[in-house]
Amino acid sequence: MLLSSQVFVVAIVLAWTGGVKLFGPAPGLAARRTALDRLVGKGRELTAYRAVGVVELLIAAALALPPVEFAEGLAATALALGFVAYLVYARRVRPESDCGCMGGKGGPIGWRSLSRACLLVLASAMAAGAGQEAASPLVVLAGLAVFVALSAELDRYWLLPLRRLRVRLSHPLAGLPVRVPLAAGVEQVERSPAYRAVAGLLRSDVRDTWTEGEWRFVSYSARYQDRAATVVFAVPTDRFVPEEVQAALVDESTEETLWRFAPTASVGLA
Amino acid sequence: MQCAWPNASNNCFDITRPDKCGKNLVRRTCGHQFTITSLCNNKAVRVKIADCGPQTDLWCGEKTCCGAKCGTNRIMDLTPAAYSAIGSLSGGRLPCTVA
Amino acid sequence: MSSLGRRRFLSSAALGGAAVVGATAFGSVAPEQALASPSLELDPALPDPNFAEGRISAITGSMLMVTGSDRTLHRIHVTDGTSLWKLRPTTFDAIKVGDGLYARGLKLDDGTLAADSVWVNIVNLTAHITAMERDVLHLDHHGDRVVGHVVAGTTAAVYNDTPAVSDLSLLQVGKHVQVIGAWRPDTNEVDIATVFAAA
Repeated sequence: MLLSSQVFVVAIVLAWTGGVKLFGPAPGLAARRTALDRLVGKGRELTAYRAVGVVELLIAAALALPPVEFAEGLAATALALGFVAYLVYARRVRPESDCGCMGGKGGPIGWRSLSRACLLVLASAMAAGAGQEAASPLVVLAGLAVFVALSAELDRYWLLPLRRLRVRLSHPLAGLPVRVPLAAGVEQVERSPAYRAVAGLLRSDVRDTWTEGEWRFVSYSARYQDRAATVVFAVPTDRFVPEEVQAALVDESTEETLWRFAPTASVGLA
Repeated sequence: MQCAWPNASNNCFDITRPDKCGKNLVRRTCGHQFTITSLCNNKAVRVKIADCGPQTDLWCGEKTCCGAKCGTNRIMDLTPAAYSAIGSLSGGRLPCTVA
Repeated sequence: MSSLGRRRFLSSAALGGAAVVGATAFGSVAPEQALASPSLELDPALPDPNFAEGRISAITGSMLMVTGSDRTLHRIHVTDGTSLWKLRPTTFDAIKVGDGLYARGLKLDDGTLAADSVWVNIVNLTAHITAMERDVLHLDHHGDRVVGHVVAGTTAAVYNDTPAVSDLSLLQVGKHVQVIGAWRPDTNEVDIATVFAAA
């Protein structure tokens, strides 16, 4: 029963993978993501990809239709061994390539696709040894479940929804202390009329930042008339109002304020 | 100084799909040069296409502004050398013109 | 000036506590007009002498010895005016041998780079969120797994066009994000500075 059930497991897996290769979306893209072009030559990867799909479907049909023959299991085993060999090869020549097993989007070849291919070898070998006894739907389902679990391509149908559900029930990142992050302060600076006036002078990224009361201060190094200077912005922390950002251009060596931008004052008038 | 452009080839366009965001970007292949000017400070940098990206369609409508000037949709990735010539790496994105 | 004194002076300057001298330097012209200058355009085929990247191999005084990914050696001079970033604006003592960096400044005749800005261990990743835990985002960066640590008080999220917030509860498993963060050297882990998400 265990052996004869594998006949159906292998048939369904091969029908699935073959079907995706022949009738799945964007086969050209999927084929290009694999390392097949290295194996069969550039420009022939789609033909090779489709041909594998046809072989998979043929073997799947032979396995699914009675009578159960030793040769069918043998053919499936040979194909599965071919998959393992291909994956090992592809991982070596182009580690970032997609396995291409179930269409694209499987991600680079990792332990999951390798163990899935090895499992297919095992299941095919078992199918080759199957007699005429009836298969057990439960064993078939269990076998398929293992294949699904090992398929990164199918994660989005079961693993991601599960994780999404968990996050919805209790978001692990909820309840962090609420603070106005520096990024919001920098954004206010960049949106402000004050920044527009001096942006061309700035030489550095944020050099220092600190808060005093309701103001966040953000300082930058600047260059003005060939001398080193500092531009400091004062940003309200409790609201997003770029128009209210104030700024000064100062020479720290002489402690002189060279220029100041206040929202209501006109620019450059002392 | 290098950049990635969403319409660097057919294959590239199939992945990035700027048209889905209503962006009609011309085909420019590897080696083509652009001048990128930051709308924040008017600093400009000259870059050469070396890669495909960014995936524009994932970020349709994204907007970033400096002052009153805004840029919409992700249409280019710059190397750190190129990006830092016109903006701060810690910012991650900036509005610009591409010419 | 001490750091505290410096901050106090700058705060008061920004808020108008000090008199403005030399205002005539700008006259009534806003600096943006006075400063519109033709920008330097380098040949993209040539490396930019004013930029350096690599791993810090030694720190001597205020000089960072950096080995570039192409084995070039850079000497980067950090001054009082250099901005230093390591997850957030930081100070020189936070920089360690083994850290990676990008630096931009001015290449001097003696071959050193006088740095205007130094970004230490900075990474910019586009990725998918594959899972979340308390204070951790698991990311898939084009097939590579990256562990993103949330740093309370520092990590910010930008959802579409909204201003950055500290609230990360709108992030969703399966969605794509852009992460600006600080790499923990020789690991697949980053501390997250800003995460951009298309909500």
